[in-house]
Amino acid sequence: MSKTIRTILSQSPFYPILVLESWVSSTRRQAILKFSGLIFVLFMFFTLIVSLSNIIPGIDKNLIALLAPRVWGLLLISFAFYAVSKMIEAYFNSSYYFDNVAQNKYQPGDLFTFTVGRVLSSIKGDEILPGFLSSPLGIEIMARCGIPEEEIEKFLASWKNDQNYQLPLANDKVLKLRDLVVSLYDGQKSFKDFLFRFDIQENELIGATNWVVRRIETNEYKKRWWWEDNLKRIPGLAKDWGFGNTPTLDKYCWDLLFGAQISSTDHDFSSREEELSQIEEVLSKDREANALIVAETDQEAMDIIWHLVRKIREKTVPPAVSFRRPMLLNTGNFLAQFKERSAVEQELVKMLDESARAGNLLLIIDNFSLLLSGLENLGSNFLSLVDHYLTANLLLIVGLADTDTFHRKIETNAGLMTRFDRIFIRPLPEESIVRSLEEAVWLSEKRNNLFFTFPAVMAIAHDAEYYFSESNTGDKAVDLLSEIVPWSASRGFYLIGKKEVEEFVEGKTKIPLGEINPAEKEKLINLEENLHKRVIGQEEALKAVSNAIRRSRTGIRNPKRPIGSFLFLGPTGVGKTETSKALAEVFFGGEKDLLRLDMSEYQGADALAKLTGSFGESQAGVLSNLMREHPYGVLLLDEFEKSNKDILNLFLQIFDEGFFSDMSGKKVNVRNLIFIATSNAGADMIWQAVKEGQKPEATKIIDSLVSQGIYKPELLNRFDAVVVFNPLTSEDLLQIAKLLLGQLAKRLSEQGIDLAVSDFAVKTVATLGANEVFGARPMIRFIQDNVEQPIADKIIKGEITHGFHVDLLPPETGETNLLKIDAKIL
Amino acid sequence: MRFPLIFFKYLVWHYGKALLEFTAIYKNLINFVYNFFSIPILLRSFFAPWRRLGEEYPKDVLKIEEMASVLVINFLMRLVGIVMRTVLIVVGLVTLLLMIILYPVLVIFWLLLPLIVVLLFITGLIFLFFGW
Repeated sequence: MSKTIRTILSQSPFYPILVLESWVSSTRRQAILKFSGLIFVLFMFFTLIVSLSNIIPGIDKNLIALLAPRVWGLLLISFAFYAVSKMIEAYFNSSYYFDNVAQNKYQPGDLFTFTVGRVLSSIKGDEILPGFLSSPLGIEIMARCGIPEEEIEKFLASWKNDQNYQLPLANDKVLKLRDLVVSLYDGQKSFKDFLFRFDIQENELIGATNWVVRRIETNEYKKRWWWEDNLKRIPGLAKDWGFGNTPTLDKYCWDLLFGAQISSTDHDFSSREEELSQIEEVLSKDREANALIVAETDQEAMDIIWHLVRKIREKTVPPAVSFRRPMLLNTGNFLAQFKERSAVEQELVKMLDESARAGNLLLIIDNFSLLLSGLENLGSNFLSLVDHYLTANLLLIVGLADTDTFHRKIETNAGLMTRFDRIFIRPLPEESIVRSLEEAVWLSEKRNNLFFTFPAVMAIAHDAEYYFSESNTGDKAVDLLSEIVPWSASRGFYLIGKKEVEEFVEGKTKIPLGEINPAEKEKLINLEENLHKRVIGQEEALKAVSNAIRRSRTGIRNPKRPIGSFLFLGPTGVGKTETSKALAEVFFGGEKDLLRLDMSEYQGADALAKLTGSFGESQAGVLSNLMREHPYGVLLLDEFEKSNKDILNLFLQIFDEGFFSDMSGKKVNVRNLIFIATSNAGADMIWQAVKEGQKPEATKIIDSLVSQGIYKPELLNRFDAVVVFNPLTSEDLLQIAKLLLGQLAKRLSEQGIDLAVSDFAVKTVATLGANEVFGARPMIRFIQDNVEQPIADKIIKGEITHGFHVDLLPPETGETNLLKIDAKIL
Repeated sequence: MRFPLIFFKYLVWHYGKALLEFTAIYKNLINFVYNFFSIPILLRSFFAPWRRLGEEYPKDVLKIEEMASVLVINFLMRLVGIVMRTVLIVVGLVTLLLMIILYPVLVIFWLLLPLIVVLLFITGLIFLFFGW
């Protein structure tokens, strides 16, 4: 087998450099080159000293005569040595290597890529898999998968080849590292099992491999300063001499060609190719070459501008744009300078005149709608001021706007719309986000001495989309990365894997993520019991809710829908709200994450506008605001059946797709919420069944609600579970009374007062406090009136204080209170 | 066995492909110098006023004095432009000329480099052990 590999290698055009690489690695070569250069400079210095000593009087001429030829000899040898190192390096850097490795321009005759060649040439034994895993590239790929070198060693120590693996070489195809890795994954079961142990699947392995290869390609590309593309980036000395100065414009604008963002490694325009070519097309027009970029957020629109600026700098844009100086107008700063219409108009016209005269400007207006409304507030009109420049093509203008303000403030201005071509920026798909993150991660790693695994990068891209609904995902993913970096540093993490990302997101959102730890496992298994600490009875209801939560936590749930959506049916006071509170506490860790909407307030014709906002009145909706402020938690929709038909239709979409659009067409993500709709509809049927000694049947109740037209079947089908809450039995009421009195006892004990909860008190509260219509809810009032109030009165009078013991006894004759408060000092 | 083969392959590259690549890179550098000194732009805008500075002529052609003053200012602006451009064009052209002259010298140096290396090494050893 090893002979076969050698034969294969010798057929490759890379053979000489692969052999050289195996003799002297790239890092060593670089070190030798530096060292030989240093030695050469040192001998040059010595030679100079010796030569000068010859003319300085007083120095022994014999000594100089002895030393001079030796120093010269060493200088010549060191130069020869340096020249050979340089020649070898030039051989490596030669164009076929460059074309192939740095630009990925392989031809079928090359058989395999240089990276595959490096793996193959480092194989010492007979087998490909151990060779791959021991090669520097294999180790790097495994590290990106989160597998440490010691684990590879352990695996290889016990590895036995039980499968006949063949290198997948074909004459008409170049074998890439990705293909080699996939063939090993498919052809060697032990390798697949090994990866499974670390939770690595095929797509993660391929992603990690591509990432490693891309890093090599990017580095090689950047090293070659002499290449045309790289030389083009250096601006000419007199490129602006033919164009005018713009002193007024310079006061309010920022030259983007000098922006820090364009020096980043991000040269991948592929994800935004479509939008960029649209912008280039518009800006190359003969007249009205003005564009309006509309994106979900301002940052996303700005992101496209950065891409465009990079292309201008690299001179890969059409000629009409290539010589342009992109200047960004800081709209807020500009408007803040003026209080009067005449002043702002004068300055704006001066600025535009200068720009037109300069002849090489590309004016980018950040927050375009702000400029429009700012001028409007001062009594001016943007269009009438700039129309002349726009139509005569004296100036190229690009406006930036977010979807919301575009629809509200810009689109309605028909005149403006004829002058500007609109370019809508589509949200990035997850693969493109991963790709842009990969480059951002290299920078972060370099600056902060961290190491990210590929599953961590995937988790950041995924979590940005699912857990952070505001702003665009591409931007949010990079933001998330920049938040993870200091967080990891503060915890002393050097290696950031999927687990660390999930831990961070979990801390931020309070949504349990990642692997289920033993404590959480315990909590999930005993979810019903935990809920029962607050909710009495309702076994079936709690079971249905618990099952849905368990499904969600194990990752089986559909990520494009809310975490859970439940309809709780039943009479009042039987624990529907309490279950929601308990769920918020168990799942999110606190009652503060319980959000509440009284749906009886949304019955009128304006209900939908109240919830999602009104376009005409420029008013944000209650639900939109609530969801943006609290994207995680439990949302309780009280008296759901009372809401308007449009609202029910809105929730049909919400439960199905996990988002809705607000008044300006902006998507609001609700995928990280548990929806609980409570409803008294069907309570009569439940009561009837209970009175007849039967168990209320959910299907019968649902059928009846559908036939009465209260709920549409398609809406009921969207709920994860429709749960029927039964009226409370007397046993349940006793338990609730005990629970409520227990809570009061706990509150009093915090003040040093000991309240004894006797069976008599429990029975009194349960029998006299509860009522058939309102269930257990009146018990709270009963306790307030008959226990809390008398105790409070006694505390004020000084009859009960710290260190007292309180008993709840039967009332004495003539007493109005239903319980006698008997207080004694302990 | 592998060393002679690689040495041979190296020589084939040194006297073949490397020369072509060297020429291609040199062409890139010449192009760069040409663009760095902005020679095409400077030639195209040779007579243009310096940084587009200048004044507009009065609409009334009879205002001779005003016309003359604008004419002089605009002429001066153009003159400044011409002088600045000429200086940069000359510097750029001299650099280009030097680069063009240097090219055959570098090619000859490259062709002789393997021989030079061997000769320097041997001469160095002789100097080191036997003196001049």
